[in-house]
Amino acid sequence: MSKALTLALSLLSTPALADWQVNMNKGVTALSREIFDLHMLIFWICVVIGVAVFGVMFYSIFKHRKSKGAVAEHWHENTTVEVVWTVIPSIILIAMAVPATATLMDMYDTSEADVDIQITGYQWKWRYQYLDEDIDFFSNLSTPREEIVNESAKNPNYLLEVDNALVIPANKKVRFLITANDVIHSWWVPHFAVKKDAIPGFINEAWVKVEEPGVYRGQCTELCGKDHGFMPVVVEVKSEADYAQWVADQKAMKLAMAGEASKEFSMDELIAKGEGVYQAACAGCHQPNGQGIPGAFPAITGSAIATGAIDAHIDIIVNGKTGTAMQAFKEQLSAVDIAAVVTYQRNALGNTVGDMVQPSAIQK
Amino acid sequence: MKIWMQAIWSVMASFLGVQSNANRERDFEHGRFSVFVVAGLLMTFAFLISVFGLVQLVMMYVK
Amino acid sequence: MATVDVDLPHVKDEDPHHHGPAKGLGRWLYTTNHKDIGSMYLIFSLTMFMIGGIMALIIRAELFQPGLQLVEPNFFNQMTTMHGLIMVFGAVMPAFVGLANWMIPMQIGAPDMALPRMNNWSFWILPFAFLILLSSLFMPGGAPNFGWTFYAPLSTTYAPESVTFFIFGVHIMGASSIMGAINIIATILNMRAPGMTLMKMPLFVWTWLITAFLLIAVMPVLAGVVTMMLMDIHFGTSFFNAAGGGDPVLFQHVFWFFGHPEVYIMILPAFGIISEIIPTFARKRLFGYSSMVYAVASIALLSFVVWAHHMFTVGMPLVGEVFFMFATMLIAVPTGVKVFNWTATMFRGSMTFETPMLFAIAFVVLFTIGGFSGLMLAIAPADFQYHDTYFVVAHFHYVLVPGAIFSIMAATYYWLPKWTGHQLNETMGKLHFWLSFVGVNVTFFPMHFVGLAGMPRRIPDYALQFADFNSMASVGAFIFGFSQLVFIYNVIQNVRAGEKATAQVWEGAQGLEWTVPSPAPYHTFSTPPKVD
Repeated sequence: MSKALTLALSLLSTPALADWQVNMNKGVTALSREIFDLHMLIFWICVVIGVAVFGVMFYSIFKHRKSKGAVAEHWHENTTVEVVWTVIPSIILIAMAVPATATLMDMYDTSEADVDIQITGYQWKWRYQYLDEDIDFFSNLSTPREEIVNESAKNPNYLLEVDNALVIPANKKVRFLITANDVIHSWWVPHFAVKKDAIPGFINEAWVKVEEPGVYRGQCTELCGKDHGFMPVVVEVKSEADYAQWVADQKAMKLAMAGEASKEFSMDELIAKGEGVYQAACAGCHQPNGQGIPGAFPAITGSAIATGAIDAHIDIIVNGKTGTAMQAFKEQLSAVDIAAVVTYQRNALGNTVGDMVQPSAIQK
Repeated sequence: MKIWMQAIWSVMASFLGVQSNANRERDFEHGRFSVFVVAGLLMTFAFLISVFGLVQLVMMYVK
Repeated sequence: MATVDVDLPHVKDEDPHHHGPAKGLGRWLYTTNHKDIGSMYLIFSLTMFMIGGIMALIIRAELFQPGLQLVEPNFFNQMTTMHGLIMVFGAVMPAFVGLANWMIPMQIGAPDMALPRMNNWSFWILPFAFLILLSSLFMPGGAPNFGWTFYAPLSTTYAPESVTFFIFGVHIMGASSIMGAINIIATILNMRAPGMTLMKMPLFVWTWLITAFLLIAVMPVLAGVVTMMLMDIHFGTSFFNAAGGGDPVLFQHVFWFFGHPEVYIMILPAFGIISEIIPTFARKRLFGYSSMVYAVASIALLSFVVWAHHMFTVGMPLVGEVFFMFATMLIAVPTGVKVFNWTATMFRGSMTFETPMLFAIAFVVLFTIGGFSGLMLAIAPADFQYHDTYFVVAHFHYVLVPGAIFSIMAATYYWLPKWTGHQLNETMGKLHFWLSFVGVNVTFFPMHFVGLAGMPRRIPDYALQFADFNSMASVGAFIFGFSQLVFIYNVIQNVRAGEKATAQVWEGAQGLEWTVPSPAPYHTFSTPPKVD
């Protein structure tokens, strides 16, 4: 009953949040504004041609109808007229393509960047590596499952929010080196007019220079499997000082994490922690209840690996399984997380193996 | 030779998408199919080269 | 088209040597009659249109509101994939082949297709291809879920097991298309009635002749690319697998080398149909028949050199981007201005607006809108903002639904009286037209807006800012979908009963097909007509 009520409420509340945007975002970079202007220019060219053609057509439809006594004329060819109406649009479009070429050359000029960030697409998350800073993290959708399945009201950033946003400095040229780990993804932030395919085995480049600090949101735009619709891009642009502070914080956090890994955990601690890790990293495929999807993703419950030798279990999580959707999690999860999730999978979701593993035993 | 020139002109007209009835009748009455195929392929190649040239020119010009 | 003056040795078709159709199911299984096979193609296409349409409605129902309501994301992807494959290969292409089967022999004064047994075979393998494809919905792991463009490695390393069935199905469809194309070329080049020179051929025949060459050129490319997938999946090759030294982008190049001409395969016969219908109801000859023929011929060549404009975001070298932008623009204009020819045909004509004409005019207007968004997409820098958003979805649906599909409906209404011998019920025809017209625009026009605002395509759930236009599109889709029941009713009703149609059917109709009685006898032009 309450579930139905929240569903009804969420359905009612959505129109209030929605808007009627009909045009492209102008964006927040010089390049995105250039692209917006090109878009509007070609749009108005189309409108003018359209008004002319449809004008003549509707004039004929109203005037030259049999019911008004129109008699068909006999001409059916005029090569000159045809050449004229072909050549004029051709010239307009070629003229249009010249500034487009200039913009394109700007977009391709990735030289002299101040910050280099490698972006790697994974099945259904993004990884950001700051090449000069030793900062490396994953960015997952943070919209709660309840909102997606309509059990609670949707927040304004529904599906466009992540746990760790990409942070870049304002007024600096930031170069992105874009690649993928499994299938092709595409990294898009509409306000930057940056969209580039992330292709496994290849590296594409793009760049951005944002003037105003702010939070900008986008999505993956290349079909990449089941959760293609659930891997947003969030970029936080910070002022230079704030960015420096953020970099320092990241490094401090990394040190603290390293300390955790040598700690000794109890089984209950690991299982409790593991449940969170499982729901964030594993449940997308293996399902929240561990049942998997027959034919696509194997079940954890009763699986030979999760109930067999613990080393093999750790190995498949750390190194993945080539040729399948099972990725290597050694880069994505800390030793603590891996120890926790292994322990959780062996002692929950219907499994009762009874053993556990400590973070210090995880060989990455 | 004349037949080749005619075919090439007709292929160019077709790339523009405009042709007169008179020329079409001439093509279909006197033209040879094989000549048109060869002319068409040649002109497609020429089209590629000229677009490529245009692209190089534009890129030099806007730089 | 050129006026066809026919010296009518007229219909000796009631000749006692000629037999009518066989009785029972055997008639349809063993038939080599172009009219029977044409009808089967059209019925098959309509069936596929309905199945693909149901899938579209599942997609639109899920997208009616943000959040996941009806289907799981994986099933949603199966629906978008199957919808695309079925509509392209099962609905649009077979419909045009069906129309070609029915009308080409009658328009050129031939007694039948040149290769009647192959004709039978090329039809009868199609239902099996689609049974194989559809059966994958019931397999463990589900149906193909990688989009109708099946980009590797999502469609190879990461594909469900049913991908092998998909590949087999595509091979069979390809074989069917190639055989159909060979048959059409052989018929047009060899079976024309005396005096029916190439110059006098109706534009529908011309466009199909060129389409058939395109089909023969590109269907093997499609077969090649799916075979490379098959090798990657089962035989350890690495065409598209970067880890083995292959290149995932190679897949896209090969696919679009097929895919771009495929776009023209789905629109050129439509150009032909519209060029038949508008002159009939404007009672005025087509403006620039010659230009039309030449332009269509050049499209066949030039459509092979613009494929990479589907791939502006894959990271091509700069010069490649610029090249494909210029080439696309240069080619688009001569194609696009054919709309001016149809307008000039209507100008100072004497128009009436029967159902086929309404669909034809809607085609011209809405196809032009699809053409405009196509021009916008050709601007490479702007394409970075449009690519893989709903703007693209809006674009190609404008070209394919009120484009190809409306032309097929226009053709059906135009020639139906010739097939069945009954005059159209104009009231019901117009009802169908207006429901479809409103439905199509309410469905697809808002997609331009959400695309520009930033909604990616192929997602089962979306951010709240896209909600309003999406629910609007879903409402439109249901209007459009259900209005096709009126179409089915109209066709069935017309087959069963109606006012007796004359041979000419439409006052302004010109051409050989209008010289035979309505309904067209089982065998027409057994004695070739003489065309002056």
